[in-house]
Amino acid sequence: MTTMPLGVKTTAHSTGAAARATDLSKVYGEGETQVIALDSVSVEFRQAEFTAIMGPSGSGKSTLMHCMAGLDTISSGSARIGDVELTTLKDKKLTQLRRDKIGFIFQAFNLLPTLNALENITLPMDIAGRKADQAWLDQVVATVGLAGRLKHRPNQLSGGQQQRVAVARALAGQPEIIFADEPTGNLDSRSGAEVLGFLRNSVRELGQTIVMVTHDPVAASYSDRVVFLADGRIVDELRSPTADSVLDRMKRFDAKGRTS
Amino acid sequence: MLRTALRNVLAHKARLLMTVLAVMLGVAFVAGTLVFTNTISDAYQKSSQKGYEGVDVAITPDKKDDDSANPGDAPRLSQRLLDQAAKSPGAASAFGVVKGSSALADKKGDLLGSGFSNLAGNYYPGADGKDPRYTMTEGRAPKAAGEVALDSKTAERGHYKAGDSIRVSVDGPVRTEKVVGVFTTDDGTVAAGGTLALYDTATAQKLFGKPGQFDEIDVKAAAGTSQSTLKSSIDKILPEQAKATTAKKLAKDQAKVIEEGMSSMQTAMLVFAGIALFVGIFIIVNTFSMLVAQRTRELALMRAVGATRRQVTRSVLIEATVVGAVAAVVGLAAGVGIGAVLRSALNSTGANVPDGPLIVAPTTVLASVVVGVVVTVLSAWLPGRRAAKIPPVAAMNSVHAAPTTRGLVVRNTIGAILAAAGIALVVAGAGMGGDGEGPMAFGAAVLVIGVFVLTPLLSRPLIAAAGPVLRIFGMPGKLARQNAVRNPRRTAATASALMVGLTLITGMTVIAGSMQKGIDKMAADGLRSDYVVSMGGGSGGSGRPLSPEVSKTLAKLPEVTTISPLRSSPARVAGDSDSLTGVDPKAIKDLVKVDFTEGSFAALGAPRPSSTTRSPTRTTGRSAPPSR
Ligand SMILES: Nc1ncnc2c1ncn2[C@@H]1O[C@H](COP(=O)(O)OP(=O)(O)OP(=O)(O)O)[C@@H](O)[C@H]1O
Ligand SMILES: [Mg+2]
Repeated sequence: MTTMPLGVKTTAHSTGAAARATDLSKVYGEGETQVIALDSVSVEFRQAEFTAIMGPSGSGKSTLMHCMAGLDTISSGSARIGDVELTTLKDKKLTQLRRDKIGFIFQAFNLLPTLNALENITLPMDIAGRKADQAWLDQVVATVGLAGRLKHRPNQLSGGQQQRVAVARALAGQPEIIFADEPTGNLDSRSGAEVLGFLRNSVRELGQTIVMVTHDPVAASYSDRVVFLADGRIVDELRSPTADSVLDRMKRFDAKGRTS
Repeated sequence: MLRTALRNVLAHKARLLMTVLAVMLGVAFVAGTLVFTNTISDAYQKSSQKGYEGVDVAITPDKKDDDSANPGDAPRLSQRLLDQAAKSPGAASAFGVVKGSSALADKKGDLLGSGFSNLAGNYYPGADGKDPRYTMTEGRAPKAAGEVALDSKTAERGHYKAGDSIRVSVDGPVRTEKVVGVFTTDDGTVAAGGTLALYDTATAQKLFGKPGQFDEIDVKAAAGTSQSTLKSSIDKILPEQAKATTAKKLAKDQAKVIEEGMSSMQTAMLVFAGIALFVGIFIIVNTFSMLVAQRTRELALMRAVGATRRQVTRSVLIEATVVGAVAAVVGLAAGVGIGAVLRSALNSTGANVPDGPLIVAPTTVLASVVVGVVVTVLSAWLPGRRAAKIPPVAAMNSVHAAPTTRGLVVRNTIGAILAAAGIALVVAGAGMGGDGEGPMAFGAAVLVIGVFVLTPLLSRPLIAAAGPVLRIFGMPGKLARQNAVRNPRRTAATASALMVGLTLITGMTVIAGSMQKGIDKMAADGLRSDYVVSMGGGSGGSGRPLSPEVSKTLAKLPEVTTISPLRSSPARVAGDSDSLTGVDPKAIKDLVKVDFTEGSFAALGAPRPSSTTRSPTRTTGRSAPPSR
């Protein structure tokens, strides 16, 4: 695994919460078609921690991420990034917060097809009208192993390479927190391992905060902590997970789900 | 941001092509119109300016507006005035101009030139024996009766050279004259395809006016004397009904006349350009709406990584600006081409435009680019706003929530109100009679807009009505129907461009049809005769009387049953300036329809012999005969 010495980011209060949800609820639709995607979720993502969110399909993992990242509105409760309460922000401030403080890696369709890899990486900075920190950018690019591919368009890159571009984009802006929704869902195990290893290193060595949704116990084992979600509620939590211990927990939920 | 917008333009070249074409067409019309009219008016102005080169002050008969004591034209200028002008201080020389019209026949007997510009004049030899206005290129100048000189273009067209004889029609019977010379001239009308025949001064005076009189006296200033100084010295010797004008002012006035003549044509052509652009707007809105819908995920991704709503709108507008600018430049080039083609097309119809460079004025370039860019950007503004409304989560969902029908409620309400107001105005206008034209036109416009707004609503029943036809196509037909019904907004947007086109075509057909009917009816109302014979030849030609021989010759034809000569003369009737028309009192009642409010044709000419066509006879009823 690549363990390049990345410049350690100084985080003043490395034990504080990078993001926190309190009694967060998200309801889609009305009347008969109403779906409670999140039901009073309270969860905290600490700084410089790699958190995995797991749970069955439809349990609200993506919804939680979107709400925490300011991509979607919430129905009730509170969502904070650092000290900023998202529910009170107007669209413009919320957009700037996403731009400056949050990084994203989605399961697919992370990149603008018309821009090349480098342009995609620097997109948030271009939007902000800021110049990228060249030394940092070079390090990020070297670390994700894309140095020779920067001039390629997304459709000229493999799925794994595209995800690594997305990782680089998320890291390049040095955001306070990175949200990743099944970042390795489309990758083979080798490329997946590369991306995950890289995410873990950025947490260990750079003090980056990452929240990742995954279905894969092996992917979850790269994290420091796993939060289990079911039917829009947090049902369990696991520290220092291994693939086996995660699988074990998941089996337990399955059994519980069937008996209850 | 700019980069993303530019890349998007490149990435969607094919789709944007429609937009480029639509904008380009409109811009090409605008640019073509401007290039064409500028080129023509420039050419005319240059040639008219050249026409005044040998002149510093021109004396012309002047009819005072309030001169009711002397109806008709002001008297012509006398030889005495010419002599005085030549001798007045500051004048170098003066020459008298006689203007008239002569229809020239080619060797087959057909009229040379376009018929409205058959000019004639006099050759006025100066001190050196030459007339500065004309340069003889062949033969010599006319010196006696029976001699004529032709302008070189006419000579070429009619294959005439010095020594030939030519048939010429002036007032009176057709004459046969001898061509003694060919000359070149800067005269604007000749440059524009007219013919010009020159006689010696005495003959011209005899043919077109009274001997010893001139239509205009041109005075050349002595070296060192300005036009205005010469004018003031000539002003002193002017008789009452004459005025002096400096050549500078004449050229300026002529330029203004040309400009005005061009501006009405320009307006008419620009209306077409406007219509093209209006149709273009629908195409642009449609294309950009499609592009935005197609790029929902990309735009949402931009929003997710931190692009504000305004930035998203701006990126769409930047795209529109680029597309508009490209279209404007291409359109401008096409417009210059259109201008050139129009000019040569005009030339090929016989109306020769004077030679001159193709004028692409800075205003033309500016207008084209501004029109192209502004129209595109304004049209893309609505889709751009819609793009900004895409929520960032749309980047993650494969299908973006379809637009709700909520928006259509507002739209339908607005459309219904507009349509109802339009109908009310049209009905009210129809009830008002003659004064109702304004409200009716306004109401019709409002109704049309209302129907456009209502298109999504109207699309459903109309598509349902088309159901049986679609059913023939089986599954594809069913899919087509469902697709069309699923998003009424999109269906309406697509239909709109076509609707505008069809509305314009039917509208114009109806207008043209009504106008034709109206003209037919008017003509049929006023006129019972089958033919109206009148003198050809534009400036100086129309309104000139036909030779009396014409009516006698025509009357002898076996096909002619009734004929009346007709001659108008200005007159003073009971203190007012008016026009009297002399007719054959026996024949006229069968030839024109006049609604008498009092009296009848019967009393007309009763005590006098009916053959006095030259003496004005007043119609008893106050009614004007139909104009020709
Ligand atoms: N836009 C929406 N409108 C209505 N319901 C929605 C919407 N988005 C999500 N839901 C519902 O909310 C619930 C949670 O969805 P979510 O996407 O968060 O699940 P998930 O845990 O991410 O599932 P997966 O593992 O399949 O991605 C689901 O029941 C889903 O049907
Ligand atoms: Mg999900």
